[in-house]
Amino acid sequence: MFDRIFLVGFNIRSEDRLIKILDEIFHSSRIICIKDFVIDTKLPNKVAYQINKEQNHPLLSHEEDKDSMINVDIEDLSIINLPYTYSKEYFNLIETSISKILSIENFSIYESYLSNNNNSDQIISIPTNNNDLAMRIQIANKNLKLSIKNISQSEKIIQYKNLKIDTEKYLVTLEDKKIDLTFKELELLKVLASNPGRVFSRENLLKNIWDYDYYGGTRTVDVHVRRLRTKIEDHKNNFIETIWNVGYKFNEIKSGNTNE
Amino acid sequence: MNKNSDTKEFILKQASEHDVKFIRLWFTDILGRLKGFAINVEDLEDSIDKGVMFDGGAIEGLARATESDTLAIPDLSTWQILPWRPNENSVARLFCNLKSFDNSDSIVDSRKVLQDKLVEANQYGYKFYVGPEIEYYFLDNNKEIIDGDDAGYFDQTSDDNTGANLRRECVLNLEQMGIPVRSSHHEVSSGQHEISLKHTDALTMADSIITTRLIVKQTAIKHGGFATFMPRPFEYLNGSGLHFHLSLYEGENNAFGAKKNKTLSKLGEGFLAGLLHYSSEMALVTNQWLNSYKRLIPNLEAPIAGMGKEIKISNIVRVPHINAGDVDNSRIEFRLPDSACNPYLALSAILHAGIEGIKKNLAVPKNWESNIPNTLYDAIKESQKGNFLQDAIGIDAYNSILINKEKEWIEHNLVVTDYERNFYMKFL
Repeated sequence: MFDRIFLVGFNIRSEDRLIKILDEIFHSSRIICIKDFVIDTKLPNKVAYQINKEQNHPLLSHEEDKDSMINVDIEDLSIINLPYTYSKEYFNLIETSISKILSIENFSIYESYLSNNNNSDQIISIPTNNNDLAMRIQIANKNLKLSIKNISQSEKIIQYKNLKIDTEKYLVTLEDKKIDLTFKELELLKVLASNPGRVFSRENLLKNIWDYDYYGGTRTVDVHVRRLRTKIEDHKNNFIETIWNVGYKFNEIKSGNTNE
Repeated sequence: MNKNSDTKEFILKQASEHDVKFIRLWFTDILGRLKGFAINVEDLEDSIDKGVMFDGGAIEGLARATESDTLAIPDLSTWQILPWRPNENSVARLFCNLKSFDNSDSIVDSRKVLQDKLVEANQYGYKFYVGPEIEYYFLDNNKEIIDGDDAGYFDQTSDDNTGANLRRECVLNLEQMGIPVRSSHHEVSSGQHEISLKHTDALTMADSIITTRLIVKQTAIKHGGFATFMPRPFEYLNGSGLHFHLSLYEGENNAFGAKKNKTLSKLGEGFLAGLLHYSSEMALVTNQWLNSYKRLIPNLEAPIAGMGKEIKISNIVRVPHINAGDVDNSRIEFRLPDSACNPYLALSAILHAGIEGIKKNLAVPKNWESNIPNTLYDAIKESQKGNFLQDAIGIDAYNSILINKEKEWIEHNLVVTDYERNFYMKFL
């Protein structure tokens, strides 16, 4: 289930009501009310929230004060109240690929987005009730699990330039030469290469590939990426890119393009 | 999905894709010497499921002779095809954990000691990362300094004699084994070299150090030479140290990283103070040989033994300069251990000392009196003063190493050396 649930753009009365409902359904999730947010338009899932500090609700979690901006992680859910009048920021926020449930006051403004977009976003109306919200959250959770699962099961053979990953035979070749990878290195390569251009946080990669690592924590991901690079990269092959302060992504290179 | 069964399937498929014929099952004895035996690829699946039984009675420190039925249980995350074998009928390795056959806990497995220590540190929220600088000598097949190697520190002279080619081959083999090398260069003394590895979690690093020693030794033999990690092989040349660059991580943050104008956080200072405070008691595992103490003397760029003598702290620990804001690189360099230590036990003791320093809020002393033992005998005695080493590596490992080291000291007393004859006969 989601680690944290963010309530974005609600008035205080609606927030109070939602917090009560959420607390009845999910005792373990931390609920955080959001005052403001920042979106990195270059990265599809990079959103940071600013906490409502003046609000001292007993059910709110106590995030650390030192850094009032919280980065949204893949394990977080955002419940977003879209304002009655059009707002570019909110529109950008619903365009991001974070897990979210939308509460929409004025359908006509967001109609074009909603009809064009068949992703897993869901809509509730405020005031909502326990059952409806619980169901939406469960669906959001299921969608998240599915998208993670799809990552590594989508293709049997992945090929970029001269790198070929046969996920059934567990075989990786570079310029037709066999590369021996460890299981974790292969899993890492599979997840990244199945989603070129998508940025994965260390936390996300760790949870998906290792479950949990007692010895190394999230840094294990860095160590494995480094090893993977020494095995598959050289001056002319640069497959994995480090996204500073975020994580890693696989470079979008079209297969067969060998112009250097 | 069961991750372990996925890993098993991966290993079995990779073994057949890469024509693996034999799998070497690796572990170390209490002194950190690599031991192992080979199994046939046909027995691989069975070995993964059930472990492999062998007679551990003759392995140093493993068990008492009466409890010698030992089970080697492969750690699947360490599967690696060895690069220096041909591609047909190739060979792979797996590090193993050891258990007694009837599951009693009398087997001393130093790899398990470190695993337990890391899980313990994890309970405080710490992950332990290590980057080592490993020094060693390339010698000729008579175990002497190779003629003509008069190169020095960082010298780039690259004729074969300086071992530069050997070093490069070692580095290539290491990288193929997934052990990234930070740098490698000629050391101060003739014939002496250094390879430093990029940091990883401590368990992976201990495995990597064991692997590095093997690769260096095998590469030297392949070229008709010899390599040694002995702490002080020649009395007229420097000893070989194993400097550890240490960091703790809390989540994704380097816990040694300090706010502006400081090189180390408060937690980092506690860790460093712990290292200084417990040096004397950990020396038995960081400097475990009689010969180790011949490295810890003045003018050898090594920490100086000599209980009670005031020496510079930078002699034993160093906080490397980092660029402003580069807190991610914050680390402590610990210079006491030598290249012939058991990395599993040494890193367990180092981590334990650091965490004790943090827990007890120890302060870094302004002037430091060296508490490094002068001899192996002193180290044995120091380790018996308190409970530090017992707590650091567990009572079973401690007892086992203590018995072994007392024996080493006694056996050395049975030998009369050339030094004694040359020195005493003149006047006695």
